[in-house]
Amino acid sequence: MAIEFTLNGKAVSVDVDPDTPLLWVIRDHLKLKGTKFGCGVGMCGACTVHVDGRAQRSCVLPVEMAAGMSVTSIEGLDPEGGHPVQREWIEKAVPQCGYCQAGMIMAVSALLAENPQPTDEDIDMSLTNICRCGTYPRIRAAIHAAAEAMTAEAGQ
Amino acid sequence: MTVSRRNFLCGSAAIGGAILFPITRAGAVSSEAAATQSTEILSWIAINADGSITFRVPQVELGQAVTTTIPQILAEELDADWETIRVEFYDPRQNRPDGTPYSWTTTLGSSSAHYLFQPAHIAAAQVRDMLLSAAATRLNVSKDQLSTDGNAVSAPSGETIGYAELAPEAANLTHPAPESVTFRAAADRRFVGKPVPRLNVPAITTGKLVYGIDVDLPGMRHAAIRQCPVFGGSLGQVDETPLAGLSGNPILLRLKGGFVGYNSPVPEGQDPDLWAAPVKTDDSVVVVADSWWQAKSAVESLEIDWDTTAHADFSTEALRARLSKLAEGDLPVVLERGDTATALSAAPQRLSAKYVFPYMDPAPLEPLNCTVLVEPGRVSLWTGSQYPDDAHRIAAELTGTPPDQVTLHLMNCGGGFGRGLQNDFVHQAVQIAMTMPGVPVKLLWTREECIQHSSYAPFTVARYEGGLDDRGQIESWSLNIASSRSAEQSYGGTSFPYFFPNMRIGYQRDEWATLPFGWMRGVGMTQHVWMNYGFLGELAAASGRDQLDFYRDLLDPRHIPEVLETRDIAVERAARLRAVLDRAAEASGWGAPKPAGTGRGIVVADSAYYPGYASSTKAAVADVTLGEGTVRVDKVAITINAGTIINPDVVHQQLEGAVIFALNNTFLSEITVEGGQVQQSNFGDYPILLIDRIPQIEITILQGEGDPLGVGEDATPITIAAVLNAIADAGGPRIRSLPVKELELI
Ligand code: FES
Ligand code: FES
Repeated sequence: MAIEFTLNGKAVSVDVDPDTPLLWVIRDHLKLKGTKFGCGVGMCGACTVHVDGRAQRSCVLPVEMAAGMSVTSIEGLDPEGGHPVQREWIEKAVPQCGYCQAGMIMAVSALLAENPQPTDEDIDMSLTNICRCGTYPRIRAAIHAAAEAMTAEAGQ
Repeated sequence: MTVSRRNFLCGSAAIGGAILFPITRAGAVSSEAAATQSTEILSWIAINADGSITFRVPQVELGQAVTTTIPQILAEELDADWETIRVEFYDPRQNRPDGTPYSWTTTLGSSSAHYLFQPAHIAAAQVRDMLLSAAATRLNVSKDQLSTDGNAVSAPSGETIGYAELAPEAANLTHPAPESVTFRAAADRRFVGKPVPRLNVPAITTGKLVYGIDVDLPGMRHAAIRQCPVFGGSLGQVDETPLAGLSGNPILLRLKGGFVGYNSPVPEGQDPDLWAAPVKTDDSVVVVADSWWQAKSAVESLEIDWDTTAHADFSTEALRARLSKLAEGDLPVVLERGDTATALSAAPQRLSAKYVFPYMDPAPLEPLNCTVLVEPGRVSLWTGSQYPDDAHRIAAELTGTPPDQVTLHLMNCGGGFGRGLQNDFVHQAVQIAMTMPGVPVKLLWTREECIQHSSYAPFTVARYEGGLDDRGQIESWSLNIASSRSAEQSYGGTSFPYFFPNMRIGYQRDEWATLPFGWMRGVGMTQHVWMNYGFLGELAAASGRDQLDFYRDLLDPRHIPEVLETRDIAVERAARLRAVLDRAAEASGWGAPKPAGTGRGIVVADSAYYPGYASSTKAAVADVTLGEGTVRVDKVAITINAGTIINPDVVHQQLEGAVIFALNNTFLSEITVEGGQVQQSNFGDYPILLIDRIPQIEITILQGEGDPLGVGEDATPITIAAVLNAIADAGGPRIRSLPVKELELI
């Protein structure tokens, strides 16, 4: 039976086993490869997407749970890379291998939407994605910079 | 097809009409050219008709930034316009043993910058010279009146001709000899030494960078694998019936395990054991289906009989006991000076200790994968191997295809840390594709398979004995190293830069241990530097001396034996180590009073596996705070002299990453085995540090000279050592076994 949801603003319909994780539907059926697979069990966050605006680990989310919802993957955050989080990721030269970074950026953009000025403690509590390359110091710096940029833009 | 080699890095459209220099054309080197040309320069540069320049990078990109740093070197000597740079990976067919044009294509031992710096410089300068010659002929002026900039040659008259226009003529010229070309003076460099932003970062932040796992070909099928849970076991019965009811047209394959190759190039005529370890696969069961999720679900639903009896008694507990016993006995001696046994028994003060390093999995974040298409007479494969030439060889040999008909598309890779040097997954993927000619198939391992079938840093037990004289000077140093299967890594003991009047080092490996060996970031130094410094720290403490004073004194050349054959090298090395140690001490304010409950550790090291090996020199200073059963790492400061720096920001990134890798090694990483089977299966039981326990990291790059030296791995061994010495300094336990279990990292 077809499952329908919105991906990056476009209505999509897929005919897959309903328990197929959203991750594999996005990657292999809808062919958007920016969302990554790292563990498959919800531990690493490489597969983070937004579902109705909230960060979700798509490797453990059966696609049927996303039916009717609005899903945003890294490709939909801002295709030009203009989201403040993306801009600061470039500015602070965060990525090394880059494999975790789509998930990081999605997790951080969701965090900032909820908490526009996170403290270091807030970041420690809420950002539980793995970066094996160890880009964490730059991630932290980029989050603060993005928070500032977003607040400044909001104030304009 | 959705992927092409050109698209991987820049997301740019394919460029038409690239004009390749004859030296750069795959498989088209004329015998005359080959005979007269230096072979190192082949294939680096293509000048494109649209005015852009394509640089080919002869290594995989794993995050070490080669797809930016190698272009920086090439752009420097070619006077290229950075905005027009395109980057591709090399094609291993241009790097066959009959002419190694790139010198070095394996990503191992932090060697890329060092090995590729000169060849890249020379190649780019040669190409520039040829473009100048072509322009000189056209304009009828002498070459030395011409200058280059922004992909063009300019004459004093003001006339300029673009490289693209000159390329066809330049391509027909004989290459100038490397000695005859001119290089930009170091002081005038515009790219090398500058924090040039990494080219692939915009693609990463928009999810557009294409990794091996992202390869998608028309009609592609997906493979999931289950390997024998016990290394060296064998496959018995598999009941195929559950597959019948499953979606995705699953088919079942059985793969026989066997020898794959070595995990590093072995120079001709050399003993492989000194350079590499054999790579093997185990028997496995594979399901191929329309999607990977279907293949994975199907393979996991199978009841499989494995015969594991031969190795079911293997456990890390038993291994620890065996290696401990070995280390207490007499091991084959790899280094002996003076009479250690006599000196030890006569020593007024004598210490002994045993240090243990567990198995560890490098665990890059991208699970292992390889896509293969076998067609009549040719093979294509897509993978992010760290040893691509061997992946290419494997595909050619397994399929019986002539090497020039095997195309390897090297892919960006989500981390390596040594795991990708073992091409076991490539070997499996080729075998799978051979059963379905004309159909591309992507093999992707689960995280569980990655952790349970990795190639592990070796389990190592080291037993030390040391004797101090009445004045607290070390008179004797005895070390026995017993490890699981490994490439020869006795350098972990012999390369320790300190000299004592009586020294003895024994080394032995235990083949009983079934887990395969692999290179992990820092290689043997990661196992040994912290142990060596740990025991040295114990001796320093016993003699009541400050760590820094103790090491400084030991680095005095008077300790280096006059009879040492490589004495000059040792003296020079000690001076280098001492200079970096002093700078690190100065930068960290060593000696300043410390609050109670805090501690500091300082160590200095290089990676000179043997005397004279070109290595960077670096020191780590760690600050820790102890609590009730807890430790917090407050700060790690790294000071490094790595010769010429190509890109300082990349050096910072690599060192930051290596420090954090070290904290994982120190506090979290441990693979254990029970009943022959790895106990860990995913990041729940093989955890990786998150952002909440990362110390402040400070990097100081010292002004260096000469060719660039390694940076990728080097902060790892010294960070482990400095943190553990800091814990002891704070009054905490002397840690002798990793990962630290005595204290919880907070
Ligand atoms: S792949 Fe989903 S959390 Fe790791
Ligand atoms: S950048 Fe490599 S895993 Fe984060």
